[in-house]
Amino acid sequence: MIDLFDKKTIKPMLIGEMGEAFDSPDYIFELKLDGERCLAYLDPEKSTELRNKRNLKMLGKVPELSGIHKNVNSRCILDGELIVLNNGKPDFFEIQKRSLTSNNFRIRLQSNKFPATFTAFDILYYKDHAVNDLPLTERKKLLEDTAVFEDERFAVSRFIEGKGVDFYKLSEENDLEGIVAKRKDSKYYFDKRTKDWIKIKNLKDDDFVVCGYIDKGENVISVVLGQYSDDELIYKGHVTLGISSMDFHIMATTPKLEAPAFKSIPPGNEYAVWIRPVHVCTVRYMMLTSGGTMRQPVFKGIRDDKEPHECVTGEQKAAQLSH
Amino acid sequence: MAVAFRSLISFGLVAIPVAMYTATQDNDIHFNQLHKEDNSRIRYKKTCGHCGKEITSDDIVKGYEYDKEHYVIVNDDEIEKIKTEKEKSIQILHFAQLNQISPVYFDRTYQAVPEAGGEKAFELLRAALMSEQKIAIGKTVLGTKDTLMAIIPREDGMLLSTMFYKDDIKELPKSYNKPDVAQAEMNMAKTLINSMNTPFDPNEYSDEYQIKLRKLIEDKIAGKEIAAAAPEKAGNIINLMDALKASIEQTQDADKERKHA
Repeated sequence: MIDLFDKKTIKPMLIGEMGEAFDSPDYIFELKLDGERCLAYLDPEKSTELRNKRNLKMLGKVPELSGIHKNVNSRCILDGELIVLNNGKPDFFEIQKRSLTSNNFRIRLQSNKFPATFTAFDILYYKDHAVNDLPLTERKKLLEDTAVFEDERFAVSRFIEGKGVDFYKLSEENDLEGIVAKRKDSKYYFDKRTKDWIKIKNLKDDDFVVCGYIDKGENVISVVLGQYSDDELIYKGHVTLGISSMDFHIMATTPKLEAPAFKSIPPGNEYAVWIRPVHVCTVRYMMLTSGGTMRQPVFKGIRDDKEPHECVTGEQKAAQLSH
Repeated sequence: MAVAFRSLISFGLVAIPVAMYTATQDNDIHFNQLHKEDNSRIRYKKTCGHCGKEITSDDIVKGYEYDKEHYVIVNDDEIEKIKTEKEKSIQILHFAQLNQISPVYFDRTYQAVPEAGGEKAFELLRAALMSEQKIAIGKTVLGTKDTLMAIIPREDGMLLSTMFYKDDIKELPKSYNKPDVAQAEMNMAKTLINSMNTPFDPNEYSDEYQIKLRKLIEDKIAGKEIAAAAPEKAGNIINLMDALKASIEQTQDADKERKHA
């Protein structure tokens, strides 16, 4: 039996549903913190190791968290969110900036100004064995008993039972991203999308492959978006972005392609600059139209923790759900 | 850190999927040029040397200056046509001794990590090269260039270094005399070398000028932030989550009381 703690190859379970707020005694509800998903391998006797969804080492990006193994009382693997607070709220752009920077000095300046916090919401391994087969309520209890020392850099996610509607309203009033509903009896399956976890958000979002951009003048561009269906990239429309952003700098310095990576594209893309489809971005929107396109899309940012081929169309996502 | 590129190392009958990550990073401080009067960024505008017009990328073609102010124009289609056929894999050509290659041939170094399904063959190649004290020489197409590569095993993973061709290496620009040295002089020089012999430890060295520069900049930023208004209390996530939870529990208690009443 290969030890999960030493191997460090776990991939987290992903949220598989998006929905409206509801009340149910079978669910707990917790805040959806707008940061970067992260697994923490903590050994109180030794050290901290952080891995993102792509299993890349994260501690170099958030060196201020190198002591959080002292916040637990046993060897454990915790699932959680890396966040940076700005004016008392999680600020996605600050953690994104961190994860896209590799210059040590810039990271140090940022960590002094906006230090990160690891907020644990699940426990997958305790002492010497995996605990992902325990029902969620038992894992939550174990998490509470293991992650005993909280401070500015390390916190345990608070949750409430049953009352999803009021909790969601409260998160909205406080201008937070939203909440997640989790079935009390649900188990944790590595590297799976689950219907047992439901995100309830004010603004919806989805991830796309950055396929190219069109100069719209006045320092604005349209980003051309795509998603995979099987192995084929499907055209998914545009979202606007300012050219002074770090995100555009990344796109502009990506190798160009002679032709788009799509088999077919609608008109309006004649002047697009096509780039290699290697970057993933998140787009927020109000709702989907009946035709499946996004209403009022807003570019959120490039993310480094997801592979382009993982950005699939709605139909593919539905097909990938575990039951 | 994003994957720089993906490839297959093709070795005998197996093809090992690998992801290449850049092995080094630039931690230096870089300055922007600013206008002295208002601290705004200096922008470069491309203008035509003949008519003075500002030029956008659509107005630009590539030319090769074969004689003073005489150019041949080459367009992208023509460049595209002569590109080497894109080969997706790194073909191992032969194996060699690392210390037999002059360091001048090594260009950029990447760290290679096996992708799903390639772990076993990757480890086999790494361990065998390690134990034979050999490296592999291979070729692949990177961008528009047919690139020579060295695959160098390490205790953890393998390094892939792009290499220069013989054509790219300049000859020694000048010849110089090599006067005879006396045996006694030689012995003295050898003694000196051996007395100063220590294993190379990269921890021992750092760019001390950059360290001073960072300190200077950090102090200036700190000074600026003190001069600016004191930042408001950042708050912490525990307080925020506790406050929200408490406010839900209050309404729950109120509900209960109402039911009991």
